Amino acid sequence: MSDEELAFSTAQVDSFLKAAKLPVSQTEREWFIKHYPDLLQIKEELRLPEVRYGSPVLIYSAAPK
Amino acid sequence: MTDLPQTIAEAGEWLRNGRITSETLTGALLERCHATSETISAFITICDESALAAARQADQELASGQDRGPLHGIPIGIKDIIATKDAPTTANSRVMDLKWGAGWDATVTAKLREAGAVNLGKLGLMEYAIGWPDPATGFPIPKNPWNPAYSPGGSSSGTGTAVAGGLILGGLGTDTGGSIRMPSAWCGISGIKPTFGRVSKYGCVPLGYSLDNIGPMARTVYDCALMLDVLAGYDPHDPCSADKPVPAMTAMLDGSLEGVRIGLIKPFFDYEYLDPETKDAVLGAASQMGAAGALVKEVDIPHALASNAALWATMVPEAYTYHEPDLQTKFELYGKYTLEILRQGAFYTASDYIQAQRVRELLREECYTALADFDVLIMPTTAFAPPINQGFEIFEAFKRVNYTGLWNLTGFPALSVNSGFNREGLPLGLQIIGKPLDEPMVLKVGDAYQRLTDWHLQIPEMAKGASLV
Repeated sequence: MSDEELAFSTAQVDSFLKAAKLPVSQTEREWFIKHYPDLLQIKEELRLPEVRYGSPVLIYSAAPK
Repeated sequence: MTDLPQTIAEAGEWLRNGRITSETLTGALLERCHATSETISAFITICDESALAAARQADQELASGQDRGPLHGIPIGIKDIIATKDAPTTANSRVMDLKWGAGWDATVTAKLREAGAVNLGKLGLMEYAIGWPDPATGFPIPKNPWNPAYSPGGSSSGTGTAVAGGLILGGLGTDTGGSIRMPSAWCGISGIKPTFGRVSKYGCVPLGYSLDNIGPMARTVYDCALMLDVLAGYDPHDPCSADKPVPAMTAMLDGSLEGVRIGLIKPFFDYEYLDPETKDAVLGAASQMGAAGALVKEVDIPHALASNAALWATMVPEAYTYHEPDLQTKFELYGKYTLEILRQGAFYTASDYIQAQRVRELLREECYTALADFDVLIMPTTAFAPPINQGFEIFEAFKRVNYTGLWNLTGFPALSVNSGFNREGLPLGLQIIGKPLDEPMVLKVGDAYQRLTDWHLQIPEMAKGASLV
């Protein structure tokens, strides 16, 4: 991770944890900072062009169409 | 000395022809549950007294001509995340408030009791049905009966361990991203995640509200069908429950694959990290089914592998919502791996969650299209064989595609059956997927496959020789 990426991850992780009022140890905080790019990758994979104007499954029905 | 029955169907025959009583069978299995509590550690709570009382009642009823059906007098176990009036529900967590679920039965538990099943106890699991075992929490950690050095899979680890280890004849698991099917595959048994809404979740601690299912796990597909016959049905207490007619789950189990159209889901076979032995076992099963008259062809689900990101981005925020207050105030009571996963829920935005639901809709459309020309689809249950019991790196797990989550996202029924063993002697799983509410077809194909093979009849060394003395 570059210095710039590290600073970004650190700021993001601290912001999310503070907003959610989640207490973490320093070791746990560092673990989240280290893996924040992995989390971003998951989020990125969701941005498929095919669903750019798609509707979400918000009301789920088990019934066949 | 008499051998113990290996299946629900076999035990049912023995109970009715007088070869065994439920009390004798229950007593013998309870002894095995205790004797293996340090080796494979399937149970959190063993309910000796209530189980024996239920078994005696079952015997009395049968003797007086009252027969409640195929589960009458059958020893089973229940994952310890489902409420039972005869034992507390721990969810394998020190965080769990034991007042929850105390003294009452979940809908599925009540249905099993009404059908005459005998509950031997509460089965181990991953904490709150997610993550990986952390020995520091102090709960028993179920081991794989085929080799205790390996994971039995999860999160319904205790159910898989207990069925494969010959401690129960059937059990309940829950499945939010594969938690019935993965331990079924890695323990060499059968397990079905029904259509979302087919089985009531009322009385089960939630993990992912829109993904959770309860379903049966047993040695054979036929036994799963017998259990699902009892479990399925509308429940007004569960807002997700499907108010749809329930067909007889055993009605189509005729052993025939003639003319059955089976689709091999191409992206899952092409995945670069798919374990070669697992792939070969499933392709071998497809060949056998083709030789038995099935019409087997490849089929594409173009965005199938995107299900991995959509699963995590749905399950983790939903689980976080349930756990948020405890993560703020009782965080030190969670196991290490549970905490690592649940806290990630704070990092997903509302937009991320909705985006995952858009992907989910795309996947649902693609799965309907894929199934339009087939009766069932097949694929491996997992991309890899059971790992050794050791530490767990959650983001490494995220990077490997989950082969079961697509069917939680779409709600389609999915069954896992044993499709062979790898070089280490560990079981491998074949997954069979059907159209929503078409469990009978899924069970038909699984049952027919088991009539062609004997993988499901293999028993771990530790379970051999189990007998009534």
